[in-house]
Amino acid sequence: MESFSSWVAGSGQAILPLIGACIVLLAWVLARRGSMRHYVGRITLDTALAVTGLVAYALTYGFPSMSFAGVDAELVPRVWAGLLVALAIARLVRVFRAKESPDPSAGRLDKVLLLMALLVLKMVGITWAGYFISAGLFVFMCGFLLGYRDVPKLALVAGGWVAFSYFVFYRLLSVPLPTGQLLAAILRR
Amino acid sequence: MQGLIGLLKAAGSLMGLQPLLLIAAGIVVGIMAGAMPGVSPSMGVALMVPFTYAMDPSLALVYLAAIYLAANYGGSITAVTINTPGTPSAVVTAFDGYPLARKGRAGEALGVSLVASFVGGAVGILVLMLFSGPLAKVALKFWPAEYFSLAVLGLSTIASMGGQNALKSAISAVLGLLICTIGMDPVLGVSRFTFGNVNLFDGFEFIPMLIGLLALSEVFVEVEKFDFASESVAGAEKAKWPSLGYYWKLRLSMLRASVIGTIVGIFPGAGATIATFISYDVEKRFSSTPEEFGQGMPEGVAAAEASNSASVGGALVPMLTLGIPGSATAAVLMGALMIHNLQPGPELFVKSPELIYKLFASLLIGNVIMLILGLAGSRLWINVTRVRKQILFPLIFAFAMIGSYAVNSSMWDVMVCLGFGMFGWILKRYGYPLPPLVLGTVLGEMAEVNLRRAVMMAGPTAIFQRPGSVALLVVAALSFAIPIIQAGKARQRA
Repeated sequence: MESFSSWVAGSGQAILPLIGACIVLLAWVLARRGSMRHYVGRITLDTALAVTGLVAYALTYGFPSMSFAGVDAELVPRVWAGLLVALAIARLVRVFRAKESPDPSAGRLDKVLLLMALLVLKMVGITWAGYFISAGLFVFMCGFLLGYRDVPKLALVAGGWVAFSYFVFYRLLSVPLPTGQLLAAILRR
Repeated sequence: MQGLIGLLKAAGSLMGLQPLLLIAAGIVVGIMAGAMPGVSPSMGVALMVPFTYAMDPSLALVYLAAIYLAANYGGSITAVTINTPGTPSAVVTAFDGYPLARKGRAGEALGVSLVASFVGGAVGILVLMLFSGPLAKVALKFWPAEYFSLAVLGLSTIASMGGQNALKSAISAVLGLLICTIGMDPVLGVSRFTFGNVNLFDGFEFIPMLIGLLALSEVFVEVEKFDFASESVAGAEKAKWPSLGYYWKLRLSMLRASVIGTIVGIFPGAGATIATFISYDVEKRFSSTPEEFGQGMPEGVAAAEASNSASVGGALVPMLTLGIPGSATAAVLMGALMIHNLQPGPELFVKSPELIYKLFASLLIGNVIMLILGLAGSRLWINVTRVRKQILFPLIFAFAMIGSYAVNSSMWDVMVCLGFGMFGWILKRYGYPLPPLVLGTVLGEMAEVNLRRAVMMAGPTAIFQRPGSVALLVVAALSFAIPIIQAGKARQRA
């Protein structure tokens, strides 16, 4: 047990979640091929939840061993992780017994994924181009992505947002919004 | 009688132009601070403290208390209009407020939240004036065992939150509880699930997590539907404002929630958020149509907002009588009082009774001003629900991100917000309710810390050794079991 604890505290922190991710991937692949293909999403999600609980439970063995008056730091996380595993397995059993409705039909997943990509891009952009430029561009592009085609109005909304965030958050509330490396370089000149 | 005379005198002294303007300014600042995600009521009060340095101490207290009072209401505005609670305690308001807005009944939701805030605020202040002393003594008798049992009572509300998805609801709550264990262990300081990431040492910041789970996930769901035919959140419906009769029908919901809010608010550390969850659950149990909660029930909004505002009066009870702040905002308020050489505690009542009466009177007056300003403001807020979704959604994203950033001026919090938004969207797609997850994150630390403290103090059976704790646990067990038994019976009948 001692060696397992030290492994979990070391390389196990990376390997255990990786193994978990592989199990979820495997569940997804198997569910897609079998007779349960209409439940792929549910099976994958519930497997992911069960695996999360298992990995969390295993990770508690890597917590530094410290106890005060018989109370350890790992006690409560173990209870919650164990409960999560049990409940997620109960859900999987329900799915396999066909007591659940099939997966909801997919809508415009492309739009959702594009939107998420745009949000990530905005976060990356903030450090480079600064908050104000990336926020303005984001509002404009997001509106466009959602199908709004009145470009002048969209530009006005984006500009309005930039002005609002500058005056309320930056000036009034003194929130240090990042100016970005680009703007900083320009200002330095 | 002496108290009433003191109160009337204090109220008279506040009837000048300067005090009334100060209270009104405090209310406006408070509403704005509450409505802005990332700016908590405590931050709103703290930001305004420097402006009070030169003021007379009693006026400073009046001004800051007005901000505190209004900030708790302000959080409900964005919760109703864009499903983004401005404060953690406005989460429950969003459960029914936003669905009401989506049905084109934003006027009702905003009206009910305002009037319920007014009623809750008034009840909380009255309790503060009449029973501060004895109530504070009761609160002091609460040990960790009772606090743990109180958290369990709060958690038992998931049984009625899940509706027909009891299992999913339980998973959601356990996920929230597990998320709460991320970071430094609050008792021993052991690092848990941090993977060496410094950002995780304090766990996840509550507001970014909340905005992601509630606001972003909702927008992702809407974008996936990609049905912008109804154009705005409220659709084509014209705003209808509730009549007095409409509010009158909700009087019992408001009163019940106000009492719960005040009582829970008194316990230091329990706070408004737990009060709103418990009140919402109680209201659901009293309702003849509990299945409609979460889909736009005015009773849900009334319960959440009344208890939220009532907790303000409750939180001031231990602060004024014992010098123990009942909430984060009360702690800031206490700090502000100390800057003005006023030490909250029993002596304050003896040394400066006029100041206490002035505070009580200002809270009562502030509550009325909040109602008037809120009524006028609601006509403006409602326009948010009429903005086209294609314009509103980018603004919600922008608002969510800046609100998350503003909490700690950290990009990490923005990532947390986005991450929880995606996670919430996935859970929602497969029918997992998010309110139990939020509840788990609210109560997780309180339950763990107090359980461990209780065990340290009295051994593994600590929570069963104290009558108060046992009573709360029995109520929690009943509250958990009854909805499940009722649901089982209903299924058998069907």
